Amino acid sequence: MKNLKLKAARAGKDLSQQDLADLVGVSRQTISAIEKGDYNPTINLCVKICKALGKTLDELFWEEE
Amino acid sequence: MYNSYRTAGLAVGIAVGLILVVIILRFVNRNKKVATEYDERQKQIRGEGYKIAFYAVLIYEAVMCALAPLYDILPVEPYMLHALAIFFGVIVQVCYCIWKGAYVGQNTNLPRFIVIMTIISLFNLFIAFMAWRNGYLIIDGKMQAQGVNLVCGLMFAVIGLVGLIRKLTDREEEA
Repeated sequence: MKNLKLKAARAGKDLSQQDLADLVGVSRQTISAIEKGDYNPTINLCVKICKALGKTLDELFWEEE
Repeated sequence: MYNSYRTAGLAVGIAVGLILVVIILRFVNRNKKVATEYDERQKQIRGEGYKIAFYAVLIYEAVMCALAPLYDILPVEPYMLHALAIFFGVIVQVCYCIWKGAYVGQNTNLPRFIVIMTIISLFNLFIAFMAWRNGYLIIDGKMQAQGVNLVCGLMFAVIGLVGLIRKLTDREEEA
């Protein structure tokens, strides 16, 4: 399932996939894979992404029913 | 005496090769480290790549065993078929990783990496060309040991082509 919340939060901060990747220390393809739902990140990476975007885990990674 | 010289030459060749690999890796990696660093997804993908390459080489060797009765008519020496298995495995692993965005590490200087790979490819193709010109590449219709250089050069060319195609398609996906 696509993570549109992450994509929107990144766009809200005016960051490209590469910018966010540099901030959290991963490759651009990894950010792309998370946004497309092709990869489930570890909790450590989720926390790094949340901190970089100023969001909580719930706001970015909790799936609504 | 000939065998001891040959063994010593082989040992020196391997040692020089390893030193060259270390120097190249330090040159290619931005933080001067020998080890290339990958993120968590890249490590996972690389593991999948090794698994797929392992099975690809198993299948290749099984096919080569089945083709054993045909060794006389194949255009390569039998020992070359097993050397080709190494390149086959490398191509499968590397191409899979390139396609999944897990080949270039976090600390890799990509322009330097491309330059080094191009030089190695051209160097191997040049050696193969010289062998062909001097009549060592193919003897009695069979590719000889110098064919390793030809295959190595072609392998880097294939890897470069896959990388280029992936780069172009990756841009479309991002857009």
